[in-house]
Amino acid sequence: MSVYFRQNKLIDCEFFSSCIEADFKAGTVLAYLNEIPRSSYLIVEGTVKAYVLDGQGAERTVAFWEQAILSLAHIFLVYQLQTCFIIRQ
Amino acid sequence: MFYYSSVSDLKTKKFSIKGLRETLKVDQKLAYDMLRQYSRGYVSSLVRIEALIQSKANEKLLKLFKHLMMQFGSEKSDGWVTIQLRLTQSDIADMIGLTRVTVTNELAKLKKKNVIKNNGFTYEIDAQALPKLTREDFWNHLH
Repeated sequence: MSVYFRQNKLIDCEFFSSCIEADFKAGTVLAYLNEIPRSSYLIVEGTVKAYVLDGQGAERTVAFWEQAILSLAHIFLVYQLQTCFIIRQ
Repeated sequence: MFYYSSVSDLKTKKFSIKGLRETLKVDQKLAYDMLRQYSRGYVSSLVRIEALIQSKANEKLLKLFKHLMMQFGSEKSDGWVTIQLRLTQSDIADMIGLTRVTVTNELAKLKKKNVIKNNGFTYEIDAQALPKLTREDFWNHLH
């Protein structure tokens, strides 16, 4: 196992190879605060920044991602939310 | 939880969350590769937390660079690691709760010790020197 985590095997997976490509220009907002995504993205090339806005409206960097699935946690969070919804019905 | 924006031009694969969930139930390789990536992200996040809980600015910075090396590092033949990320000093400051001025001062000290060098917004780290400064043999366990 390498110390460095950049190698991404996910791109090679059959599931992702059949997915639609989506390109974005630098500076595009991909998701807004508190938005629960209905789609998700695997980053093939480039970098994404997560940030919040402080009281003065300035960007505060939280983290960066590259060659990774965006909102990976949401895949399971949304799943849990839906499960809760079904139980309540 | 956050705003997400592209720092550079971005190529992605768009997929439905529902489709991925269904595929994960039957595709063992995909499940393994995702678990691997998630585990790596988890370890890297722990290192980031480790950076945040340090009380001294230089310790915070060293641990953050350890996190960045793990997440974005590319090893060079001369033992240095390039962080493949365009980082401003404000980004670095935000990520560890320091002011930009403090980051500038601490970076200058590390550059003087020849542990870190930068070319504009790209940073390089001496992979041998960093573990000595953070007093850990963590890297040996992962190699």
